[in-house]
Amino acid sequence: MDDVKYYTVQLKGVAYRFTPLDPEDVKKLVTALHLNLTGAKMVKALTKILAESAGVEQWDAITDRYMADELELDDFTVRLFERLIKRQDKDGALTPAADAE
Amino acid sequence: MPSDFAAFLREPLSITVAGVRFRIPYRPAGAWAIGLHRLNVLAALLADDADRERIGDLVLEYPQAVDDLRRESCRILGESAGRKWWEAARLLSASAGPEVLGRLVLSGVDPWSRSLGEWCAATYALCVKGHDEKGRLKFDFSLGIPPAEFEDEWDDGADDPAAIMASLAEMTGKG
Repeated sequence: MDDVKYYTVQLKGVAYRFTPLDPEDVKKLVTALHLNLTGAKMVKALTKILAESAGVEQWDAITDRYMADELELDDFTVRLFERLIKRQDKDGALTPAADAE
Repeated sequence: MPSDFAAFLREPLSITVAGVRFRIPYRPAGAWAIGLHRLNVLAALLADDADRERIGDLVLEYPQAVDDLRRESCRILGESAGRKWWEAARLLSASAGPEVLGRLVLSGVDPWSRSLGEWCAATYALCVKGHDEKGRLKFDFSLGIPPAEFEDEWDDGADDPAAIMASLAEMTGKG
């Protein structure tokens, strides 16, 4: 039985399914974004959790589209992250496990 | 407990995030006011660029760094203002309102030349100006109520319960 929650997000005309992001990771990344961090470390941190959420096949497809200049880096990093956490927040799915105890 | 003279100080501050100590240079009230919209990372926003990057790295690397940064941001806000951090935050927010800011500027107070403590003191003075004792107490109480999650800091042992009860009685006209 597949009871995993998914969020469907369109990236320039193509829809992808993402599993919910880990609230602790979200907290960490939102804090880092608030510090206006730029560069490779931020991109690496974002892509790590977004790739996990998308799954290998979808993430490969997304990065192929980036290589083909169909997507900008921000489309599937910062902007995708912001769209996903907005959706999760609306669902009340951003409460870290420790807070829920 | 913040020093009574904290409002006058123009000293650097230090914070510890994930076990690493950082020196935050003196910043005038204007910088604190601008950083206040991101209270959780305020300390890092006041740091110099290299330290802000390093703090960011720690945030990404160590899970406790997020909470450390939040706690340290609140701590230095309170220490620099010489009052509870939420009182400083409320006074800073109030000072950004057009009427209060307008009056402060017209009276010659410049947020870029004053310390956080001085700016908060000027804002406080303006907010209680013309109030009688009851009005002032009411303002003090609304300023002093801790935000959610910080109720435990309400009683820091610094206040005399008898004095609080007397003030309450006076406020409610039952004294």
